[in-house]
Amino acid sequence: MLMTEPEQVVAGPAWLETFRREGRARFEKLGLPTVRDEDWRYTRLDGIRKGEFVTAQLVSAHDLGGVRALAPFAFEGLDAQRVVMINGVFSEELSEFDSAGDDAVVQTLAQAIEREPAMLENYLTHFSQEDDAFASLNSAMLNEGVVIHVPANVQVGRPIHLLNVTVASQVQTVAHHRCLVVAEAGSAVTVIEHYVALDGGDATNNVNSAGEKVGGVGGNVWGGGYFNNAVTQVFAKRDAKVEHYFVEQESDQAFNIQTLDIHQEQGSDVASHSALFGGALVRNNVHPVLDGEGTQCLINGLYVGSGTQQLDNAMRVEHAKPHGDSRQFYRGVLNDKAKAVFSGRIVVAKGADKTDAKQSNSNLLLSDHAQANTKPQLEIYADDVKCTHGATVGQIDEKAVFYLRSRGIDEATARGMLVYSFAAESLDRMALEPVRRKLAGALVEKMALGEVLSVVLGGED
Amino acid sequence: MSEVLLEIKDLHASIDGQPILRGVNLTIHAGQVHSIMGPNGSGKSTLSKVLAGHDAYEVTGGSVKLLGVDLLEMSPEERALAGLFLAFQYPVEIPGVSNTQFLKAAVNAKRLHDGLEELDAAAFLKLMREKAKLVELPLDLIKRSVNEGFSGGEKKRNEIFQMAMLDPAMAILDETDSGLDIDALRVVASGVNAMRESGGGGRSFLVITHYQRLLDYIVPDYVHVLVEGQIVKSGGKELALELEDKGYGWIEEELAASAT
Ligand SMILES: Nc1ncnc2c1ncn2[C@@H]1O[C@H](COP(=O)(O)OP(=O)(O)OP(=O)(O)O)[C@@H](O)[C@H]1O
Ligand SMILES: [Mg+2]
Repeated sequence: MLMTEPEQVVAGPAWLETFRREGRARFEKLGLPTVRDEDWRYTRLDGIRKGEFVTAQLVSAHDLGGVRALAPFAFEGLDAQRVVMINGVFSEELSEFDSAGDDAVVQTLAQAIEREPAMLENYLTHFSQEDDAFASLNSAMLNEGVVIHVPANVQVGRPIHLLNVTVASQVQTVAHHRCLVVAEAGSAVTVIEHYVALDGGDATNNVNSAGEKVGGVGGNVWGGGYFNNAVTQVFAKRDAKVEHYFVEQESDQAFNIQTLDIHQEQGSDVASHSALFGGALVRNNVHPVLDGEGTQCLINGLYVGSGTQQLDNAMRVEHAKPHGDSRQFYRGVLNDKAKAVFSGRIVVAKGADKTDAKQSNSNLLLSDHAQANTKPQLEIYADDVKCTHGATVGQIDEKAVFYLRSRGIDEATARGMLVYSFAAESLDRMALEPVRRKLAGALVEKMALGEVLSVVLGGED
Repeated sequence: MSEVLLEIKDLHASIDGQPILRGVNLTIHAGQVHSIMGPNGSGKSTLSKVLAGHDAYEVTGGSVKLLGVDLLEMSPEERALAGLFLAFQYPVEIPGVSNTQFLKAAVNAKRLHDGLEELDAAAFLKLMREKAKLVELPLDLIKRSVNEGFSGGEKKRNEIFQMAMLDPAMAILDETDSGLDIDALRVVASGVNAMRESGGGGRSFLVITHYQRLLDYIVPDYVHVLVEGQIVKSGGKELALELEDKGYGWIEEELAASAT
């Protein structure tokens, strides 16, 4: 059921047909992973396996209640280009991005197939995770997507906000989104991939800042889990700078498998930020390959789980050339029966001398039933390298709670401050202040830190 | 005589079923400085933490009143809001929470409790500058996470800085002098003395220390000796000199003699 044919398949050149066919063949051979696969030990895919998915369809802007329905998903104060996908399908009506000038770097997959087929073929087929079932499935179903191609030495001024909206539906839907970012030599671009949900019922995301429900489609409610299976490929050419955000704020009905495949050339500087708030089951794969001398890669993430959420982060950082610096910082806050996984694999290839790879993962458990599994894996085939890793799973420091209370701060605020500050360390690494602010708000709301926000964030000097 | 600020009567407390405080009696009037000395493990920090409301300790008997109100019924934050302050022997490091955020929350909680308006950012900054000067605490230290990576002396100075910010009626200083260099000791002591004079002279201090040196700077009205969870001897400031000179052995001998 995962390979239902979309209504309208974008016809393409022969290579595209081959690309899809090969993806299909790989997926059929690999099948869905099970907990017997080392990389999926802690995450059961029963919900996806048993799902009766149909391909999701576009909903018109009118039916959604106009562009206003998207207001709650904006990053206040951020002047961004907006590319909107509704149920995995590009919505021209709701999108607004530059078509002239330096910032005009966005095309739909269909447009790119027409305009730059050779470039597209070259990069789409250059994918380092051939043995990944979900990425193969995504290739098999390749039909919708966004291509961001930044010419050499162009610094894209307005960040690109790629808003992926799933609208509540009575049936289970699936979408296979693809995003390709090619930053040519010396260029710079920021891309925010943002997954959200709209419904007429009680999805928590589509509430505006005044607390009122907005959007929603004819009182639609979820008919069962839906599935977003997305692949993003980033190519940072020589000295290019790419900042990528994955912001997961979907409903609790979502299965979301994200694969971010990064390819870095000499002197390039890439940052990947992940913020996992929503979804029933989220798998966040981040795979940078530092394939040039003197590259830098920051892999930063925050996952905040409650209820029965399963948030699984799988890092695979490959140092292929000398003098690469990678920094992995992942933090998780888990309440109720939420479960999280962090597996951080660092592979240093033979000859990748003077590699400097750091990894740290910290987990804060707020309930006795929350769980975090953390697993560093180092594979080092070079001689002269610096590799450090550290992982912690702990509870709120009661000594710190007492210390704060002894200064007159009430217990709830004291605990809230400690949770907030734990998570804020991840947010602080994000370059875009409006993103940080929105996520701080999401954190406060999700963990019911209430008053803390005003105390902690109010009038920061 | 001035009003009674803190009144401890026959206080018993234990931890993990082990009795540590075994009948402490102590009355502190407004404006007085009392000092507690005593051997390691005699219960000095236990007393201070029981007073501050640490829930690891079980109060098994006795009473404590702050300005006539039952202290033991209050939560730690209520005690702080009622005017009690403890400068910890071992201040806690809190990564991620900046001193500024933390103090702002604390100061405004206190102001709210006192029926005052919250301080705005500018007023708060001004207050912070002024109090930091009092203990010569560098401002860049204040911007950092609470006590994180602070040296031993910096932590102690930060405690006194917090005390100055919170303006308590009753301050307990648990070995604030340990870890301070000679100059810092003088600075911190003069900060305490400045606070002693401010606030109409009604502020009281309970100074826990092992060393007479601190009491040269912060001159106490009374000195008490705590041994095995009880105050076994009290006197004027000369008692501290005598202890410095002779240690605790003679007191323990005196006790043994009177017991037989
Ligand atoms: N969790 C615990 N379980 C058992 N005994 C404890 C526990 N915590 C503290 N104690 C004991 O309580 C006694 C009093 O400790 P306290 O810290 O109050 O001493 P102190 O007088 O402050 O000593 P110092 O001068 O060394 O600071 C000590 O013997 C200590 O070992
Ligand atoms: Mg002590």
